[in-house]
Amino acid sequence: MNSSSNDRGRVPAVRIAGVGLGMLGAVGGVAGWFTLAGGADPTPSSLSQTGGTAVAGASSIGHAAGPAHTRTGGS
Amino acid sequence: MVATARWDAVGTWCEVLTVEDDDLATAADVARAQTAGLDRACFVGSDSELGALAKGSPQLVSPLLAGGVAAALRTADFSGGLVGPGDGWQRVRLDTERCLLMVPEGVELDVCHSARAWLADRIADFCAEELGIGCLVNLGGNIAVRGAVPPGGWQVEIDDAEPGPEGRPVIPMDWSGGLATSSSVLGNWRTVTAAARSCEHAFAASHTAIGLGDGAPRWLTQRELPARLVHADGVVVHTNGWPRQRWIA
Repeated sequence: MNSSSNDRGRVPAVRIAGVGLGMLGAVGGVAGWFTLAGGADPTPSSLSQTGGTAVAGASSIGHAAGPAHTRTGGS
Repeated sequence: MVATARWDAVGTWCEVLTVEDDDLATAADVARAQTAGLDRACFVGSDSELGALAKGSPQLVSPLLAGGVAAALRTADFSGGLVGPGDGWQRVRLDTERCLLMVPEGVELDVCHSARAWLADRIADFCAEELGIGCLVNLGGNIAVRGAVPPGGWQVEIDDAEPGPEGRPVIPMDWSGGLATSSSVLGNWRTVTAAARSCEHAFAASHTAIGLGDGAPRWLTQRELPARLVHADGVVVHTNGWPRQRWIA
């Protein structure tokens, strides 16, 4: 990637459109592979921007509180 | 009450968390024995069981090596070869019941990453099913949860490598299954974190997705895999059923 840190705030419209169309195209896919029983986001799929304006269906705030017990990623 | 033990093994950090303090020592002993066994099987280079394995004919191997290789082959098959344990993996032959492994001449197997995820499931399964201990097992970010969870679920921070101003997302993990994150410096996606019915499946899904580029959200959604994908541009995509999340600094 050649983008500077300032460029991270700008989301190319074509990129968002491409990802959005990809999710629309997923309708009718293979069912029943794995579904979380509880605490799941009610929005089927969503798209947002880190640290900026929500594009569509931004993530919601849950009820849990306190510090994290553990982490994934960044290892 | 949540109790935690942490140590280094299998080329990374390992954690065992239990809901009850009294269960921690037992669960940690199980995990230490298993991770030490996997270290001997495939994590100490040419001195490991895998490194010293004679090639070209079936060899009797330890159950841990057989299990780790089996996981790597399943992941390769699931990903259509995108996440393989090395060139020529299709010609590897494994009899898991008899622990017989045949690695062809010229084939170098690397099963470390898949084996970690599989072992997290194995440890958590044993603790929950054989010992009745609800636990979270985390081997370098590959997380398996089985049995009882704390009120509100295990709180798992998703390390996106470059957190936004709101901090890092935390999700409650209250299901028996797995969670894994794959990251990339040069790919379309910075990180992909996937949830699945097992840690092995979550590992396979996240690593496959990160290799698929812009087709990843569709691929994950078609398989009804909840996931959080962070694009190199900063766009965040949640696929079907990703848990509600909060933020910590």
